[in-house]
Amino acid sequence: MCMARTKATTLTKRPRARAGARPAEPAGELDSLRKVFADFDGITIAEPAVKPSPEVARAIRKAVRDYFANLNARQSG
Amino acid sequence: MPVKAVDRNVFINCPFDADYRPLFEALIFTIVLSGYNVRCALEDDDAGNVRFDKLRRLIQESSWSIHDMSRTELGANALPRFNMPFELGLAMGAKYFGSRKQRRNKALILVRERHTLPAYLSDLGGSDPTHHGNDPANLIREVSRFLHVMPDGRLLPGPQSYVAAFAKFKKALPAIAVALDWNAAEVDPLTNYRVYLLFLAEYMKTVMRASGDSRA
Repeated sequence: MCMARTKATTLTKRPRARAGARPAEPAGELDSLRKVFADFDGITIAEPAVKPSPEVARAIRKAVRDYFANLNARQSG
Repeated sequence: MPVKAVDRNVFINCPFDADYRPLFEALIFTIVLSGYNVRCALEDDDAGNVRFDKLRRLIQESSWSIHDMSRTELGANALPRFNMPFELGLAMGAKYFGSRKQRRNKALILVRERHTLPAYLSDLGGSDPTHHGNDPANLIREVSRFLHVMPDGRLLPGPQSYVAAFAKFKKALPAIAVALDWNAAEVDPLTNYRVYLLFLAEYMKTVMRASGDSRA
């Protein structure tokens, strides 16, 4: 009885998301982004007047790069 | 023709509270994507810098200003928040009594509802402020119409392109924040202004590079 209850619980329990796991984007997301932002072609984005510390700035740049690399990989794969 | 940095500066005069966050996000998104530089009191976290001096410097360095009066309403002490009308007055003073260059400054006044310039600002009657109805998409439309050209003088895309791009950015932000080992709520323009602004700029630069690469 006790075992049956444990088993049922195990079967219905959803796996927990890994801490820090990245939400999946649809495979065509990069193309969709390119299409939307193509209208802004030629605009130069200004450097922000203020920035966080160099360490945080580096981490942000890497996070953005990784996000787009991931989108690119999904698109090609 | 390259433009001087001052011509790219847009001073924002708005409330910095949680209720206003969706509008604030839309506001800075539109300014940055148009190629301009956001300037506001949040950029200076040095407590030793006197607030009035800070505002005076920001207004002095900005050719453009956007003033959202929609939240100038009575508080718990039965008094409105006078900061925003005060800063609008300061910007108007620069425009009308400043240098020849400052007299060409452009200002956008936003209110919540159509034709409802608050009674405390009746001196501005006849100038017909723009309303956003508390809707970020409306605010994007009005701000992109106000700026209407890039800093180099070319026409900006239509408001619908901004609304679509803003939705994409909002969707991407949680995933990028996770890559930084943060949660999306921590990338907050009010409590983490510098971080949010760099996020925004880096995201736009990267997506626009990707957009250019796909056509090359």
